[in-house]
Amino acid sequence: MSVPDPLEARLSFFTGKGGVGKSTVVAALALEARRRRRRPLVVELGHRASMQAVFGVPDVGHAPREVAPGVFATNIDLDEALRDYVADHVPVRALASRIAKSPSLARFFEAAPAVGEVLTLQRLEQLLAEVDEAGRPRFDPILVDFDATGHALMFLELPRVFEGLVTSGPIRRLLDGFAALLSDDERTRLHLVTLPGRLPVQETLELYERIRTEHAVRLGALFVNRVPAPPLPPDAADLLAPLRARIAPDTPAGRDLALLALEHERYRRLRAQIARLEAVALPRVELPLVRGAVGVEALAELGRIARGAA
Amino acid sequence: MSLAELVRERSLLVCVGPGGVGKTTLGASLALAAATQGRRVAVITIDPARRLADALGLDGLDDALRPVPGVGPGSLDAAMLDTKASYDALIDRITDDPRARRRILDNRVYQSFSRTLARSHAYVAMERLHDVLQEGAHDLVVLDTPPTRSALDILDAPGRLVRFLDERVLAAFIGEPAGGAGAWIRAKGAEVALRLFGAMVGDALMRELAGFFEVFFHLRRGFAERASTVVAHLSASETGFVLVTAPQATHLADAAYLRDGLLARGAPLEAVLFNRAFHPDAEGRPIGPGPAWSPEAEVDALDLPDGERASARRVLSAARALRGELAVANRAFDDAMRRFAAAAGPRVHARLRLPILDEEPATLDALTSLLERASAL
Repeated sequence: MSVPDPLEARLSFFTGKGGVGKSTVVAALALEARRRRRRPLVVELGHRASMQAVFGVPDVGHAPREVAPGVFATNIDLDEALRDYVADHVPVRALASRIAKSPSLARFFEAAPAVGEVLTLQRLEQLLAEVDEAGRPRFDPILVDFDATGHALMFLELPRVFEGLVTSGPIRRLLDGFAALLSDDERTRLHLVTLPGRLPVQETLELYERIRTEHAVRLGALFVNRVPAPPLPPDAADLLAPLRARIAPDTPAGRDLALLALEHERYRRLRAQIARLEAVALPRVELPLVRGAVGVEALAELGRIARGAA
Repeated sequence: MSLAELVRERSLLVCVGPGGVGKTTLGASLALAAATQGRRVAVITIDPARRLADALGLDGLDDALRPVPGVGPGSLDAAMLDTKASYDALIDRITDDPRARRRILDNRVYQSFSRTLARSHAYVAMERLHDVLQEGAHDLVVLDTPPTRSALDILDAPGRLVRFLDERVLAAFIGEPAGGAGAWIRAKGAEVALRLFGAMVGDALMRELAGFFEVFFHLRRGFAERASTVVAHLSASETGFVLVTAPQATHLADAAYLRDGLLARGAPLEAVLFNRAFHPDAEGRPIGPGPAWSPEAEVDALDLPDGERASARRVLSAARALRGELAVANRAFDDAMRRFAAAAGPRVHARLRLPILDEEPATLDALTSLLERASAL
């Protein structure tokens, strides 16, 4: 399957099991978008600090901040999103400020179900609508890094949770807008990220089936992260066993050959897992394993590969 | 205290850590280790992978504690903390009138709250932990926490619990006087704010919200009391916190937030487990650089036919390069872990690293051998 540009959509969501490296994929794509002279913004939710760690910057807060030249990131803060929301929706400034300062209401908002999610939506809408001096969208593309599968599904289900409950008013408009955005083929994609292991592959197969059957969102690409290079050139693999038979196992060369044999076997199993992902009818992008710390250079390279431009 | 001592002596171990690092698996291994030493152990897990759930005999249908077969000489009971199931059980327990019960269970806001919100997890974990501790049938309880920063919520109770159940807000919502003239005036303030909120969300949601808060209005005292009991346990000397992480930068960043949050709250952080923290050799030891050798010399010594020499050299070079790569990666992991552990506070004596495994452990034997493969950092 040819790989369409995962950056073509204005808004991309990324999801996958915890620990599969979503943040790495998102950061890599943001760098690649910048290289293509776009104005990428990475959005994190749930008070995570991944972009701080990935780009080595001290603090990513509510206001978008430049984490690498031309690459912006934000971590949606619910208190600030609430202040924005109230200011936008309560026309009388004195009242707005009273509400924003009301400790009772603050407690209520802190605890009330789904308020955080609705506020996050509101903030996303705001970021989508921002324009620069030239009237162009300030951020394009916007890449949203969901912190876990459950979180992403909860978002997709928001319009349904409120179905029939919120029938009018600003939140209704927000939810309608979100539902429309989710099912907008042109503007929105949901990408899946996984690893070439048995468990992540299994969960990806299940997640794919669930999204495909239950949600209208258009799926983008399936990223398989941390795929190691074959440890042996294919034409040399046959020599491994005869060489091990002739070189004493307790010599340095013998021990290193034993490691290579283990790695070769591991690689074979991992390809078998990747083969199971054939059941996912999405363009598949394999990202190479980077051992040790992933620096910005390595990320940029990953980004080129992720976009299918390597 | 070493990890073995913690497992032998503590009566509550709380596992915290970022998502995807194997926290649930390691929590189960700790519990199993204690049971193997003869203790009566309960492990309360969250969302275990299916194979781990199978190994623990959890069918996922409810969240009751069930004995794990094949464990001895002690015992191991395991439960999966399903937020919705736990809430429903709680509602069942506290409402006698079946009609009232139905009304709560059918409340849409209740449904979305109990099913979907990570935040509500702390409340239900609190309840569950309270029950298990009160029963007193176990020598050790191992508690898994959600894989997000909200894991710290459990320590912020009862403050947050009680704030959530703030009488004035609830009273304004459900139209009951909260008692006392001062409270009434404050409730008026909340009422104004709520009317505005109502205009934003509409009548239907307001009605459901009122129904939802009515439930909690009647629950709040019990909640707060139970939360206080649990918090007393959490800060008692027989409780230890175990931080589980992996050595990648993004995991360490999330783990650092938890580490600092625990220390700031004075929680007894006593062990840091680094999972998937080194590439092991065939014997399970961390791969190091190894002595130098020359692929060229090996090929010469083998006396191969000319046609095979080039391929043999490539295989041998690949072997030597692989060791070098893995050794470098191991050293980078070690450096990152040492920096992290240096800030882990004075009580952390157990700093262990576990190997990168090809398969997640999913049998009782694999869980047992997992901890045996740990080595001190």
